[in-house]
Amino acid sequence: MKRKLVAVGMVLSILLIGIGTADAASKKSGSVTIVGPWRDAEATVFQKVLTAFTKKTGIKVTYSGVADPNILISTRLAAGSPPDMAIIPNAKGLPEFVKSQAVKPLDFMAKDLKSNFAASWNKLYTYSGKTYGFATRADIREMLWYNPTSVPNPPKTWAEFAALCDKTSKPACTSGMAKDAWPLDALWTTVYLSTNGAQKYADLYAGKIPFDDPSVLKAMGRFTQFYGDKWAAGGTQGALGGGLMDGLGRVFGDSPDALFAGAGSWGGATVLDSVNKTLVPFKTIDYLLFPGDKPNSNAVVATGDVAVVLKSNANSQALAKYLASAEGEKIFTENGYTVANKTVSTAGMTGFISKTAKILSKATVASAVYSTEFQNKWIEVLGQIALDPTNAQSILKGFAPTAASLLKQ
Amino acid sequence: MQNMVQRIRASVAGITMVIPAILVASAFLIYPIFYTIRLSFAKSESFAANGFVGLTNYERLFHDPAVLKMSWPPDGALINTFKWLLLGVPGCLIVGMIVALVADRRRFQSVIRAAFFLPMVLSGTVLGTIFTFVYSPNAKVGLLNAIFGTQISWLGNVNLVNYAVITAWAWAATGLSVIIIAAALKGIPEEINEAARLDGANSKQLFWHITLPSIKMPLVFLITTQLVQVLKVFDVVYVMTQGGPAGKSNTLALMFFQETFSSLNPQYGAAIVVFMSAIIVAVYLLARRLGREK
Repeated sequence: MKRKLVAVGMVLSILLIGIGTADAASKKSGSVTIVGPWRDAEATVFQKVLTAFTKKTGIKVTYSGVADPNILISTRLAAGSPPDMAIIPNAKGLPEFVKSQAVKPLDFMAKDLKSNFAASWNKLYTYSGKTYGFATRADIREMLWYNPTSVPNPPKTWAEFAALCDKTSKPACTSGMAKDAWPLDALWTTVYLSTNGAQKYADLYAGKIPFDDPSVLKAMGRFTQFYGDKWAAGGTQGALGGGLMDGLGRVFGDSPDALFAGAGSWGGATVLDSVNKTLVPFKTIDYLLFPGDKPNSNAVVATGDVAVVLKSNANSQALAKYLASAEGEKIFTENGYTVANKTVSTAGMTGFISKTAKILSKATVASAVYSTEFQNKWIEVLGQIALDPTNAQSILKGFAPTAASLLKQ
Repeated sequence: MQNMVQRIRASVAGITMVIPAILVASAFLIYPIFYTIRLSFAKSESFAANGFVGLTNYERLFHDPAVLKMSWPPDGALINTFKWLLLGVPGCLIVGMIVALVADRRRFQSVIRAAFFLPMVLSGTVLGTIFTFVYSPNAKVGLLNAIFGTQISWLGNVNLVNYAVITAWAWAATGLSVIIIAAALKGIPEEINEAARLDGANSKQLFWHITLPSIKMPLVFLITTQLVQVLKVFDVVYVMTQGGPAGKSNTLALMFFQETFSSLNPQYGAAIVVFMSAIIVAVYLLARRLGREK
């Protein structure tokens, strides 16, 4: 009797194992690790994307959100254990990672990249004929956020903007938040583009135009006015010493003392979430693109949070393809973020997302990817010029050779 | 013969017991030091110490205006690091001494000491975040500007930024001075002070001729510890200013971080940290030597 029971038990076990294996064979197993810059609310949204991916493929994803993913990537590369994938904010450091072969080319998804992204986006992340990344989320890098009740007739050109700023002193015209340094570069790129156009923008960052060119000086004049003592709340020092929330609070807080704050397309969500929840989109909070010489110049500096692959295997390739797909990217747009993927429909979008998505889909998109070393040095120069605008020309002349050598790398 | 065998056995036992500590120290201290020095002479563009470029990275360091700009007044991360040295350490020491003396042998001395010690438990990141708000140029947000009714940009003014950041650090670091000096004061026998007072010594004379010499060793320890802390300060500066505005509050430690992990130049970063370590060792040895002199 005992032997019969053991035999039945063994047969049942074999059957169960067989069923389990057959079931598992219909999905992949394994896991992927990915690091990125998104935390808190942004991480929650990204987790939805990853959960949908896991549900579809069976591949588990472990996501680590950190303030500066590049540092984590660098140290883990040095330790010999890089994550499988990473999201690099604004492609910062991508040229260095490509040069050191830390990131792998995305040859396995060349067709997806071609069909899902505009050529201009793919070109940004292509080196020596190979594409190394794609933009998961995309933003307009800088626009001017304002309260329509304080600025009922928003300026359409630089001349109108300057006239408005010259007229107002209480409240101040602009609110700087340059304490964290990166807003200096964000504003600069937007000012240069709106002043000189997309072609010159591309030429400047390709090293074809020197950094002491008259076009740079012209844009620098506007840049220094934005941060100048006359226009900026608290003067230049107030603008350079104020942080992000300070700057947004000056325009949208309980006692506003400035009319415009420069921030990316993420600015609206940040203000509504953390500065003033009573504001109503388009009624008491809105944005305009940085005005150029002509109205509706329709050129924007766009940035993308770039997905890259550090360890190319079946699982990381599957995740990369999913993140580049309309199915994966749609989850971002459903949760209030804009994407560069042209196959994601803008129908059904509302609020600032709708406005931004329409601009991104129609505008001439300018962007540039340069080394972090260049960006760090350039930001320092921008700070020097903001503090000493009368010496802008000589400072730029001193920096031009450094820029030329760093942009060529 | 038997004695020699016993001595050898005792030596072997002792060595066996310290081997784990030696292994740990080698893995986490000695090897990284040598690797970093080697990296500062390396050619490769990753964290691998491959190739050899001689003193190229050090030449770059000594010619880098971000490190030292020979203008008037001189500028650069090295100058800022020395500002920290000359202001941060004496500041903590003097305030700590005053508080410890005032609180010594008085009622509520433990409350006073605890009040000064508590900020020490804050991490540099938290400290930096708190003081970023304290120093906000917007009087509706910044505590200092709200109190004085001003609109000073403490972190945006190139003439004030270093002093503002040093003050924030010193506010938290003073607690260590208070605790160590207070403990040292407790070790001075009261009879010595009484005898001196009977001989006609006033408070000033008591302080200079009895108190200070009596607490010399703890002071030397305190100074050398804080010197080393100040020379490698990073987190407070990173959070509050990231070296700005326009690099005016940059320090060697922050430059090392930016070059290594942000600009991805680990070889140059290694040269900076080797240079910084040389300064720390030199300052430490000088402080110890001065402390030993009579």
